[in-house]
Parts: sequence; structure tokens; C-alpha cells
Amino acid sequence: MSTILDNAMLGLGVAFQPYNLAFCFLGVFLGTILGVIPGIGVLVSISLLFPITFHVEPVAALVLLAGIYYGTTYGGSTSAILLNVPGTPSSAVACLDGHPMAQKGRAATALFMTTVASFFGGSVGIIMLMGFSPVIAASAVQFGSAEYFALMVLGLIAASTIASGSMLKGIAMVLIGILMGLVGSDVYTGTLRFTFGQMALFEGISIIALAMGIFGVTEVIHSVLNIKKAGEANHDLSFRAMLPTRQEMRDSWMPMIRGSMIGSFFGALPGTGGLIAAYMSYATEKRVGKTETFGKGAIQGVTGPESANNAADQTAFIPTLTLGIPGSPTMAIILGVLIIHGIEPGPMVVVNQPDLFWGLVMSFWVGNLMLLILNIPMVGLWVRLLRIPFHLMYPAILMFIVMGVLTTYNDEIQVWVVLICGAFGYLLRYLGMQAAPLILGFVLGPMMEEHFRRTLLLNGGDFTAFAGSAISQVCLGVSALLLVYGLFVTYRTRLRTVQAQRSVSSRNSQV
Amino acid sequence: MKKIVAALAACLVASAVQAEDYPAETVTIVVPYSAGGVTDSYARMIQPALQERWGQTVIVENKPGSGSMVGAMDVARADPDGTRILMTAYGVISNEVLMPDIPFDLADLSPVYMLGRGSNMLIMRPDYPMDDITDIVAWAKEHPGELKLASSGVGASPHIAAELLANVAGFDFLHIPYQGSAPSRLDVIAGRVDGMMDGISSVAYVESGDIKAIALAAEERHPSLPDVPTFKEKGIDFVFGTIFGFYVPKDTPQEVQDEIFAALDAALHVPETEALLNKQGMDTTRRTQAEFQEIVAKELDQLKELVAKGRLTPQ
Repeated sequence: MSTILDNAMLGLGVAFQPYNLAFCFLGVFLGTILGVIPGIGVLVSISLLFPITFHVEPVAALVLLAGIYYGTTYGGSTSAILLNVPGTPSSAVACLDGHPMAQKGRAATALFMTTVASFFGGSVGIIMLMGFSPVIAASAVQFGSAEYFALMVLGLIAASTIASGSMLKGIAMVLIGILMGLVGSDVYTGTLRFTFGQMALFEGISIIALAMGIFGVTEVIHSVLNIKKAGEANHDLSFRAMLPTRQEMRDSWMPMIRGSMIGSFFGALPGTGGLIAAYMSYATEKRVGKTETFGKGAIQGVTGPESANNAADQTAFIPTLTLGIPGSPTMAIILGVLIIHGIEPGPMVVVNQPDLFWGLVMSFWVGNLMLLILNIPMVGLWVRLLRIPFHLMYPAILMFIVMGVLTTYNDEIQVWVVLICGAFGYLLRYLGMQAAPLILGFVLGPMMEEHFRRTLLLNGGDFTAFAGSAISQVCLGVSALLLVYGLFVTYRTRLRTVQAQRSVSSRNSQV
Repeated sequence: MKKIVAALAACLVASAVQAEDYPAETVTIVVPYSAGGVTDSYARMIQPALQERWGQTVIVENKPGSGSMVGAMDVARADPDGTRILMTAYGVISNEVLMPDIPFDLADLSPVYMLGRGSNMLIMRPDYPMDDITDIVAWAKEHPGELKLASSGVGASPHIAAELLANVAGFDFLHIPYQGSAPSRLDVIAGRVDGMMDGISSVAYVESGDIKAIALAAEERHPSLPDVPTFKEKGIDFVFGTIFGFYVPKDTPQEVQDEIFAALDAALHVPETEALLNKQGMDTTRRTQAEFQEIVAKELDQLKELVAKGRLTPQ
């Protein structure tokens, strides 16, 4: 324990150097702003600022890029809640209940609670990072393709309830998402699938283009067509209006704790991350939550996923720094900083560069605290955004989406992909289908396929390999239980409806 | 007719650009990969020196997509005046053979300067029973298709390296592709696959004992791994590494190409820069433009041979 304290003190010393402090503030500040703007996600922000890192010390460079990274997650939910346009793909879940809260005039509370939940999740993530990095890294190595596959099955089944309304439509959306995820070159053979000879589709449909199209552009089209309905809610901007009710506070604790745990887990696993964590947290809350208001502005649907994706942001550094295995493209860029400064990423970084590792980790505390202080006064400012006339607001959103996509890909074809996804999204919305399960299918589907085929490839086509370890047995077992339980519940409700109808009809016949 | 017009246009452009006033405007180095990658970092490393020499703004522009083909096409179609230079890795060569259907032809580009050649090494899981490449090859020959070698993706340079090795040494293996080198390396560490061809950057894992380095696909041993033999020492004629190079549109005037060559050569052969590149396993032997073009042609032949033998399948 004392070593952790020693290391923490060493790290604090590094983090509190004025130079690093300044870079930390710059990072989280830019991150928040860039996160709020739809389209300009974390990958773009970090790529744009990456060249700066050639000219500064490695610790300062890492502190800056990491600050942008978790800062965008704080900011990403803001536009999701206020405008129903997620600032980053991982904040798409915040639309589900955050936006309904805003429509009810509770935007300030929703924003306040996301900031609190983000801070809570971030803190749990950092504690995991500080205390359990070696253990978590060792268990992340235990996850092979069979384990990932079992986990993805569990995820899809657990999340099948994520859509509000028709179950059938929800499943249809997951399937469409999986199909869209299969576009691009086959991981195992390089065969191009569903690309129609379009080079823009060789690497698949990008998650950024899809999320921005299906949430952002769709929302703009929808709002233009329903312009009269907009702006009905009156927003109280006083500090008191921002505070949650006692009941909301009580309802938020457990989702925040569960969300942080879920987030810490998925963040630490290479390949998964904030987006999947947020979905899983939402699905969990929807199952355990005793409220019928999910999808209509349930606070649990905001605080759970928000703490999950922020916790995931912090624990994503565990495989990156302790194993040198980046779990996402963003983490790969952050590792790039080390390479440029002549530090080989790998298992020895923590040992050989303790001041770098602990300085960075302690800067996360500083950064999260800064974000908390920075974001709460900003709530009023953000809510005021809603007073901007829509004829200015929506063109601006479209402009930012196009800018974001262009800066990410530097290729105008991707703008067309966004617009087509937007038109498709509007069609789905018109038909009463929800986009959230589609995104989940889009992310999980290709991963499931990849791990399914790799498991068979590695084991010579032996299907028993899927249940070869305790991890996969538990995941598959829980999935089976969830399925049986789901069928049982459906059967029971149907039985009750039938019985109720019968008793009504028999009573009617008696009369 | 079209060709004549194109040729005339090219002549006009060519005469308009005089080597002595090159570059007359901003020069863009197009990197067909995302910022933060290896190729990008090399481009940014030399950018200040070029800017200083030419007295013009030099920009590094990332144009990722379609396995580096989007950026390559962008430069191939740019004005041949030396203001858009492609800096890229192996993809531009391998995709020529592996993706014949894309609207890009390597012949539209002129290879100008070769930054260097990365080196690959065969790494194996820590508990793999054999340490000597001769034993491994012998075992793989006896058990065709049983040696599990991972790669960062179909057609990526570690995959091509493994196929080349198998071709030279005469064995068949089971190829397990991943999406990127990080997840494949993780499965080598965890022992789920036997090994993979990897860049010299995995030296950190050799030092920590998480993986075993078997042999190096280079001409000489690497200073960071003095105990790891080369394939050549073990009697296997196998040298392979990704080629980092600069390309311009094919009709760029030779004087402009010469100036780009001279500027890059001066920028890169500075002791500190060379030392950094060498530490990362890069062979920075000076090569003329003609030699670079020969190397590219040789690589293409090698790849075509693999395709002919059915080891690689073009898409």
C-alpha cells in the first residue's frame, strides 16, 4: 500500500509541475469544447493536436492528449442531451433518456448529473488504474477469441431490451446494424463484401459517419420538418434548477456504482471500450431499474452509462500502458507519443519510466477535478444554446458534422456516406425504429464474427472450444439464463393477457 | 488522341516548372495513414528540415483510407510539379499486386527516395518448445499447416513476410489474421498462437520475457538484440521489411525529382535522425533513385511469385 502512496506522491509531483498543469488544463478544456461539437470526436481532436507533441516533453504531451481524450467524453453527452445529436459516438446512449429530460425542461439537471456521474466514473476508473493495473492487465490477457465471443453473445442478449417499444423492431435494428457492420473487407480472406466496388467502403462504413448521419443528420431533418414543436420547454437557468431532486439523487447512486464497474471492465479489455460499456450499463439499468420511465427521461438511463464510459476512458490506459497493447485507434495514437520520444511501449514502461506513468495517472485526478469545476458553471451556458434560433442552429450542426468528417478522413466521399446514413436514419425514424440498437449491432456484430471465426480457426473447427474456459462458460451460461428468463416473462405476460381476456369474455357472456 | 493531349499537357506543365525555382509554393507531404502512426511520425520528423531548405511552407497531410490507396491515388492524380509528395510504407507496393481492380496504378507514381527498410523478426510465444529456427522449420515441414502464425491482417507486411519465409524455407503454416499488430501480439504473449513476424519494436517484450525472438529477417544482427541470429546465418535466404519511401506523380520533371531527392537525403542523413531510425530497426543504407526503383520492381516480382504459387490471393 505504501508503495502506491509513494508512487502517487511521485506522480503528483510530476502532475503539479506548472508546465504539466497548463497542458492538463488545455487538454481537458479543448476536449470539452470539441466533445460538445458533433462530428469532431476524440480521434480527430487528438490527430489534429498530435503534431504539437513533437515539440514538448513526453509527459506533457501525454497529459495533453489524454486530457482531450477523457474531456471529449465529458462534453460528448452535452449535445446528446440538448440536441439529441451525440457529440461523440460513445455518447449516443445519452440521447435515449437525456434528451427526453431536456424536452421536459430538465436539461440543466441532466447536464449537472452527467458531470457528477462522469466525475464519479472517472474517479473509479483512476482508482482501478492506480491499484489494480497489473492484476487487470493479467486478466485482460486471459481473454482470447472464445472469451470475447462469449462476452459479445452476452452483450447482445443483455442489450436486446435496450429499445423502448416493440421488441421485434429492436431486434430488426440490431440485425440491420450487424449487416452494416459486415461491409468492407473480410478479416480472414480480404474478400470485399457489400462494397459495390466503391473504394470508400473498402474499410467498411465508419462508426463516426454512421453515428453522425443516423443521429445528427436525422435529427436535423426531423427538426426541420417539425419546426413548430421545437422550443416548447422553458428552461430555468438558476443554480437551484440544476440540482437534482432528492429522489433523483437516490436513484442515481446505484446506477453510477454499477456503471463505473461495467465501464472499468470494458475499458480495460482491448477492443471494447466506452461505447460498449455505456450500452451495457444502460441495458443493466433497464433490467434492474424499477421504473417504467426508461426512454422517457429516466435519470438512471443518464447517470449509469455516463459513469460507465468515463470509467472506461481511464481503465483503457491499463492495457495501453502496462502491456503496450492499445485497445483502440485513439490509444494507438497516444502510444505513438511514446515511440516518437524514443520510449518503446511495452510491459517495461511502468518499471522504467515510473515518473511518466505515475505523473500521467495523477494528472487524471487533476484533469477530472478540472472538468468538474469547468463543467458545472458551463451548464447554464450550454442550456442557453437551446435559445439559439433553429434556423441558425441546425445549419451550424450540419456544418460541424461535415467539418468533423472531413477532418477525420480528409475525403469528401465520407460526407456522402454521412448524408446517406442520415437519409436512412430518417426513414427508420419515420417507421418508428430506434437507432441505438443499430449502433450496438454495428459495433458488436463484426467483433462477434471475427472472434467466432478465429476461435474455430485456432481450434481446427472444434465447437467445444467456445466453452473451453471458465470465463466463456460463465458468459454463455448467463446468456442462456437471460434468454430463458426473457422467454418465460414473455410467455407469462401472454398467458396473463389471455387469461384476463378470457375472464372478461366469460363475464361478458354471463351478462 | 487523348494520350497525345495528355503528353502535350505534361510537357507544358513540365516546362512551366523550373527546377531552380522549385518549390515556388507550399509543398504537401501526403501520408496515407492516420496521424500518430509510424509513417506519419517519420514525415513529421523531416518536415522542419525541408521547410528550412526550401524556404517554403511544408505541410504533412494525412489522407488515410482503403489500406493507403486513397492517399496514393491522390498523389498519382496531382499536378506533376512536385508540390504533392507521397510518403508511404509497403501498402503501395503490395496493393498493386493484391488489389488489381482498384483505379490506381503504381506506374502512375515515380519512386524518388527510399527512406529505409524496416526489419522483421520471427517471434514465438514464451512457452514454445523450440528456440532454433532450423528446428522450427523442420517441425513445420513435418506438420504442414499446423504452425499457427498470426499477422496484423491479410496482405499486411507481417503476413507477406510469413508467406515469403514459408516459400523460401518450404513449409506451410496456418495463417491467423488479426486487425492490427497489437491484438495479434497479445495472442502471441498469451500463447494462443505460436508466433508471428513482427517489427523490431517488439524488442521490449523480448526483454521482459513475454515473447521469444527467434530470427531476424535482416542482413545483420540488431544492436538491441545481439543474441538473435539472422535467417541468413541459419542458411535461410530471407530478408524482408516494409519499405518507407517517397513518391511523386510520374510526369514530374527529373530536375524537380532530383531536388526532392537531394533535400530528403540532406534532411535524413543527420547523425541523430539516422541513429533514431536505426534504433527502430530501420536499415538506412543510402540508395540512389535508380536503386530504389529496382527494389520496388524486385518486390513486385516477389509478390507475383507468391500469387502464382497460390500463397497470396489477389482481391
